[in-house]
Amino acid sequence: MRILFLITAFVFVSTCVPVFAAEETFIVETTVADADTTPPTAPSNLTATPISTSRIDLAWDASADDVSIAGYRVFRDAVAIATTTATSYADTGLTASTTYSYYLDAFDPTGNTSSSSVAVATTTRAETVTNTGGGGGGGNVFYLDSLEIVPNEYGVRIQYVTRSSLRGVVRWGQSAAYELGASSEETFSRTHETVLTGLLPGTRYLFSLEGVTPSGGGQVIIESSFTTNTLDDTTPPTNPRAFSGTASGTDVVLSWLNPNDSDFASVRIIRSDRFYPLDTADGWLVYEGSGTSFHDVDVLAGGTQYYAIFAYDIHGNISSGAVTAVSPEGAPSVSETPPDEEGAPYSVGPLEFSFADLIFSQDGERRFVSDDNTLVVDGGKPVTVQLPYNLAPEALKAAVFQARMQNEDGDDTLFLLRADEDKEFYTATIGPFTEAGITSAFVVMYDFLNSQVGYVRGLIDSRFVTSDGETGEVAVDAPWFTTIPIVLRLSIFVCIVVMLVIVTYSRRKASVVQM
Amino acid sequence: MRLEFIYSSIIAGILTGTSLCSLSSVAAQVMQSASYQIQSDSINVGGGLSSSSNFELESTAGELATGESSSSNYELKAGYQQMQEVFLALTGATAVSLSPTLPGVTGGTANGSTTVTVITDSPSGYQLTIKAEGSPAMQKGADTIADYTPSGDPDFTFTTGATDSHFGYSPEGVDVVQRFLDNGTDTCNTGSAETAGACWDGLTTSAVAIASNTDANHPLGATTTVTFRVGIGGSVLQPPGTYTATTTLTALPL
Repeated sequence: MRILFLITAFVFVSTCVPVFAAEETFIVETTVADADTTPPTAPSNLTATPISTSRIDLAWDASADDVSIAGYRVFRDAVAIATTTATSYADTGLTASTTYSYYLDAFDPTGNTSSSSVAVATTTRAETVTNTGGGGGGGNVFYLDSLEIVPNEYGVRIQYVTRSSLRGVVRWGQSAAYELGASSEETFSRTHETVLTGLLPGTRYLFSLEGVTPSGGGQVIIESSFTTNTLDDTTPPTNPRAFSGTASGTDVVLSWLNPNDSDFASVRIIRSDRFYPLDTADGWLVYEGSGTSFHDVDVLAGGTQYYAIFAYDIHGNISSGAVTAVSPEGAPSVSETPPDEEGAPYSVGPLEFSFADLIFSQDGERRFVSDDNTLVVDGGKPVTVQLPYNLAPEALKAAVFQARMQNEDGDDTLFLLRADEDKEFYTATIGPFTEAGITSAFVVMYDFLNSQVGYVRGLIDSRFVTSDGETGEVAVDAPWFTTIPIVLRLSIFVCIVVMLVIVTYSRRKASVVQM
Repeated sequence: MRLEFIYSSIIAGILTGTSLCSLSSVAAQVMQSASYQIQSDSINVGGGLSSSSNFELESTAGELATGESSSSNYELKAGYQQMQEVFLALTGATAVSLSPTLPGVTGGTANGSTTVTVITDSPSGYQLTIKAEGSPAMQKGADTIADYTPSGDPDFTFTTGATDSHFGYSPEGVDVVQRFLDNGTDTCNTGSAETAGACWDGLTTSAVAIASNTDANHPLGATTTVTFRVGIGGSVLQPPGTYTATTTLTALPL
């Protein structure tokens, strides 16, 4: 029994070992997947346009890649001269009347390089140009010593020096008729400068330079063209619509509608098993392309999967993202949809803002929430939603704008509200509602534990533009005659009344004659 | 009758073991001021006070020191005013595999965590530190992932720029040191909030305190969760493979 006593005491004593320090060493490991090895396709349709004596403009069609295009290398006479992410390049500092050959290739973020494009060659403009009537050389008064054309987004500066003192006249247009105008100098000089403004970005214009002598004689010196610069687009595209996923065994079938933006390029879908991916680096890239569906194979064995879809435009701008979560069949959905019935609260949780504090806009014009917490929108146009940064909860991880839009199964579509760099707004631009009607919309807040902090609710009344130009006044399912302009409707009404009066009067007159 | 004797022996053993374990917290009393701490005092039954200009000695009598016993698993110093050593245990640290696997081209973030418990009867509490074996911590042969480098205090948000490839950690728990506390909004080392997923720093080969307490927490202890994260930006070409960081957590009694 003494042994039993000692053993029992030992067991208890041995659990409380006195030490000076305790230490645990362990390994933290992370795995980086293999890099991309597929090169992009070669750039196509390369064109080279001589702009002046020292400049040639290049343009080409974008390459394609399974990940993305990181840029293009431009080669002049087989020597790399520039790298650009755009699909155009202005090569300057060239020599007049010289032929240059160009080609380019594309590379992806991994460094895979495409094959070279088809080479093109062109010649810079001659340093001096004479009119058709001139004999050339120094004796011709209508002689250009130099010409420089410097376009910007909305205009161009044309500088030129003539051999003789002339009064310059510039005519321009989008055709050889120079239909857009003429600019005439008031004084005679050898140096000339004409600045044209009010032009369209990225547009080709034709122009002519005409010289007028003091004696009144005038002739065209040169006819040429220029292209205004394209705008630096920093506006993100509209988010994809109707982004939803369904479980099929352990697979997930995703579908969506791409935005209608003219510069839309592709979408990327990111997957995470933790929470909605908040940006394009917050999880696995599972799809990139311009399709409208994707089958994600054998992923639900790991439980609920969260997806975010981001739209890209050709300038690299990224939308704020639309999100969805897919749980294994039979498992409860993680999408906690706030109540949507009549009488449901308009605000839940410790939030310091209401639905009316959100800033909605369409085509750059703000749309205000009415006193009954309803927002009227043009159902045919995208809607931008903004939450002022200072109104959001302090410990905010994500803000999601949730609305019932066109969707195959009628579920809500969820959009991420992304904070801008200046931390002024959380913003999302969503596609047109496309259907008339009233639906609930929510802004739902999540904290860093991925739990809902609260939400605000409002109503969105989607309407459509009428033929008389009034926006949001008549629903698309309104009676057919409401689409007829009111003036025309009044005219028809007056005509009918007049005809009825005439018929009635005629019948009455006929009956009087019979009597 | 024999069965009752067995039970009695077991109960006696439990009581003896328990009392040995809790000796410091029950028998020994603590007195402290802003500058000093006396870990145990005594009610004398004999002896007396001796003093000189430099020292003051209070001796006691009437109790026996039974001496020291030890094995590879325990050390027992039984008896009256044997030199008192504190009990401290650090448990729970496990290998951490960050998830998900990061795409080599598009980048992303991978996360993982380990939770440890520190139990101590040290009347002054404990301190928990963390350090890495290598610099940078995350390595794969000659390839490395840089340590996360906040600007001064830990970053409230783990931020990965397009050209970043880095590895950081964030401690969370009831005893997290001030440096990893925040104002609940956007700043660490200020305020008293312990916002989840906030306050990120990079590992170094020098031990950095991540949790501490100035009181004993025996027997419940205190847990600290260390979350690790690797972030690779979309413009970084991180060589593929498995990177590892040998990490050490050390608990020290105060």
